[in-house]
Amino acid sequence: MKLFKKSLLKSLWVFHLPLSPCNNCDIEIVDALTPRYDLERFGIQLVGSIRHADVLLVTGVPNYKNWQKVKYLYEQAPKPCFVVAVGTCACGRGMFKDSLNSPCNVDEIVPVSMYIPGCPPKPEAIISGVVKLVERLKSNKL
Amino acid sequence: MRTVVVSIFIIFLSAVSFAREVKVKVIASEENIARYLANREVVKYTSGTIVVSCGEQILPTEIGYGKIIEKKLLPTGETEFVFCYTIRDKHTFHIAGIVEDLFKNLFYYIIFPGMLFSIVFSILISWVDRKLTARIQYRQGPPILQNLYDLLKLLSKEVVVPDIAQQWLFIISPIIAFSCAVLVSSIIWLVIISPSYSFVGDVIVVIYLMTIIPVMFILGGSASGNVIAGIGVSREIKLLLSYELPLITSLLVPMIKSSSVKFADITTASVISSISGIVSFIVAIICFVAKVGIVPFDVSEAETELAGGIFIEYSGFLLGLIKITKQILFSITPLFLIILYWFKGPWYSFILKYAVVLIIFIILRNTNPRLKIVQITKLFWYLVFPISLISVVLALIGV
Repeated sequence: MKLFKKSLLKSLWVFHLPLSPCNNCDIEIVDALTPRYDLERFGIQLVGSIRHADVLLVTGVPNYKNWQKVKYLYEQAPKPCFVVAVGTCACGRGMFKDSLNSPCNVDEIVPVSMYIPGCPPKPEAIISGVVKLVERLKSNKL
Repeated sequence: MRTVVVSIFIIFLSAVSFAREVKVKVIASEENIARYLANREVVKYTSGTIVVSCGEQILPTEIGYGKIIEKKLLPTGETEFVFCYTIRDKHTFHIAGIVEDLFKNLFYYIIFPGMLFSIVFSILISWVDRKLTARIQYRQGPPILQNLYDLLKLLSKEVVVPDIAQQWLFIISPIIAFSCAVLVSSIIWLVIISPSYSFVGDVIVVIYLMTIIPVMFILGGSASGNVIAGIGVSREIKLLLSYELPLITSLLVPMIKSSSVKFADITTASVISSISGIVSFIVAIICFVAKVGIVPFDVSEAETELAGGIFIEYSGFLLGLIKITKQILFSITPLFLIILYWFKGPWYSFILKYAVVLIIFIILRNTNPRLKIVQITKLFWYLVFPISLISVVLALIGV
């Protein structure tokens, strides 16, 4: 079991879920995967299908059209699957808190394992968030 | 539980089909034996001179390649040789022998040249691929055990089978693809270790087994019931139709050059030293890049446009099997090419040849954009297939 846990932490495959974002966080996420930062060193890959993913990376604010789909996608993912909220919007909706279009926070829909605030967070912040997620998962039980 | 039983059954079936060893006592003059050993051709004997140790007779046509265990000079001037032959067992049925063969073949299939060894080998080779790709893109690249971590993680994860999928086919097809890849790998490694493991028609067996793998991916993808997987399946079928024709045409050249369909005969002829050999070697490299499904020809899974394509619904253990199947295929195709075209030479040159073909694969993968399916079909049918036909004609002429 310990070996499986170690291998899970060494190869986190990320599915990127944009919930109508302003695209800033998405660009920073893609930036973290570029040769300059190179997240593949830690075995982190961006995958196209939720069935292959271990991490659900959420950016943006949930609205009335997509907030149920977040839950649906989370249920589709093979467990264990961790949710990471990137950006102020996904962490706590920021300035859209009292907006007409936004029903709830991301963490009211699915359990969020890690918050990475910033508008947008730098790639360094994203990498440090991922490292903290791995550290937390190492100490906790899965 | 059902999957485990089925996979054990498949492994059992494929292990039984191997040949078994028989000792043969031959009384013949030294010249004939020397001629046999030098040319590796079957020397015809009359039925009286061949005596088998267990008291039965074997027709000369059934004899494969053997090696001398014992040698004794007879007072008549002839020499008595005891050969160890690997033959197909047709008219004898010994339970003990069959059980022994079964364990031996299971060892070949599961441990040494088969499953375990080929998994370890393919993990190392695909690490080389990922690291070189990373270095070409000015990146650091993953650690050496990255593919092992990926595999272990996928094995430990949950398997999600969609409700609308045809579940039986969805589950069985990656398992069949994996066992075919392992069988290909064990046949090729056994031939490399000793040509006496080669049997008549093994080249054709390997070609068919390599074709079963994409066919199984097609079946599994279409069984998943996903629309995007359906697009991937249609592309994979067109890809298969495109590359299979020039591939088999180009693989005809080594068979023509050695006039045999046996690995042991083809390895003794050096095909690449002729013009037709070089041309068909290049064609075969392009076709095998398409077969492995790496970048210029990866339309069927295309992460960025089809989000995984045929494999979009696979998860956990089944996805792990698919990944390792592709990695085994990637690591074994350079070996297959080298055996067919470029085998002659000392053993250390073999590693160099393997590295050369592998690096050609990796460079092709990193310097080319993904082609559209129309472009792929046009490339293979209008350009690559005529070239391979020309190489076959050249080989028939003898150039």
